Amino acid sequence: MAGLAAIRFAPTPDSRRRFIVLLTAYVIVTHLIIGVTQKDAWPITNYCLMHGRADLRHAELYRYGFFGVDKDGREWRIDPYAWHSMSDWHLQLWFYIHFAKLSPPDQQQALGWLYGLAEEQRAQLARGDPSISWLGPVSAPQWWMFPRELAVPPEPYRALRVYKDTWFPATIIFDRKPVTRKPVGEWRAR
Amino acid sequence: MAGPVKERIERLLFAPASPLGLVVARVILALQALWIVLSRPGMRDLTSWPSPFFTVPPGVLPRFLIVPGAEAVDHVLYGMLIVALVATLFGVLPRLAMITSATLLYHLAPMEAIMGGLLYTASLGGLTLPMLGFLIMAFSGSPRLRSERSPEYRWPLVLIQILFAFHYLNAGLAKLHWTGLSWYSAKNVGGIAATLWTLNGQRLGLTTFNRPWLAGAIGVATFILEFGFPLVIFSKWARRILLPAAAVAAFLRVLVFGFFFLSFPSIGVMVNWDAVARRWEKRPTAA
Repeated sequence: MAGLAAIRFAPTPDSRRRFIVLLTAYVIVTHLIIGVTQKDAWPITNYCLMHGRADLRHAELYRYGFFGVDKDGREWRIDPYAWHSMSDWHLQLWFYIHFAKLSPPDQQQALGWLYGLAEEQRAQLARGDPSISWLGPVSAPQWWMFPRELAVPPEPYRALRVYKDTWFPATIIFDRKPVTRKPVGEWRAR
Repeated sequence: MAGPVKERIERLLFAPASPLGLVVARVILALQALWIVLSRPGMRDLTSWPSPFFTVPPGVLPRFLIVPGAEAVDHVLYGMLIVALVATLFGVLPRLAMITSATLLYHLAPMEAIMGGLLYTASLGGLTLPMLGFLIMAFSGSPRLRSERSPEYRWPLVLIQILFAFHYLNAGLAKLHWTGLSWYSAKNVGGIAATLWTLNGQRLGLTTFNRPWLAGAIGVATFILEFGFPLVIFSKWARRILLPAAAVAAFLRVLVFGFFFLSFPSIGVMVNWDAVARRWEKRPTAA
């Protein structure tokens, strides 16, 4: 901002050009430093994703599964677009980093909130409307493209359950074994 | 030594340019931002989420003017952002519209990443370049399509192009930092595709894993794209080869890795629109 303001209000054409060159150099150098050191300072950033080494046998993956429970006790996987513009991946990250550290009342508060969002979207999907925004089918998807889950029960969920699934890719690809599933939390509608 | 370097910098930043490139950049970035912001109406409600979702390091919330519980204000700001982006798109009060857009994007764009716990992931949401681009354009000359050629229409566009080139270059540097050159090997690219297939079930994940030649080709192409992309700023040939390659890569990323590159419309800011316009004017017309 300061660099741009200096350019805008430079007293002479020569100093204006000098500021433009300096700002350009600053943009290049700071991005290179962040690229080399991987110390992020958004909005100047490292744009890193999928940067790791694949290890099918030893790198354990996880995914939190969110399920609505209907009146018969059947579980329905919640659609990744249920969380009102919080991407499913960011919610996964939040669970991974924060959930276990919260007090039980805070955990219940968080799960109750997510239940409300899931139930709101269930009603929308039950009406036959899968759109995620006013733009309908041309809405921008989330950048991590988890498959959509559009099947919902006609009646409200009675509870929200969260599981943590873990697996090693090789066990699914070669050994055809299921994921390991552990319960993380549950919130029951009153 | 200093002479030729100075001359190149002069030519890169200050050679007179028509306003077309900057006008198109403004339109592309405004459309990209509008597309994403309109697709995320819930971003105005994120501050209504309960306190456990705002477990963040001290200083982060004030830095982005995020106030938990202030969703009524955020509703107004979200509406203002849409109005400002539409004004930016059509060039109505452009300086005010772009400063407003950039400021509101700075507040709203990183919110889910902050709540999630990793701020850098805000860069994957497709709003970083529009935000920085609007800021640059707001402080430079206001281009009108009929204006004379001027250096004022060159340097802001080059700066935006440099920022976009770092989407690719820094993604490459991250791979070198965390994994090394072996990231680009057929074994690793196939392994990543297979790993992500177990997560997303994307269409070409296992196909890539089972065909080392395909994984190898993707690895080599990714290396060339990530480290060659900055050349697009300087070279006509790099533009001709790497811009279509970048568009194809954006499409392939969905099929192979299950990752949607939300900034793909920004590839358009790297196009030499003056050359496109010249070619358009020279086209044979029906008698």
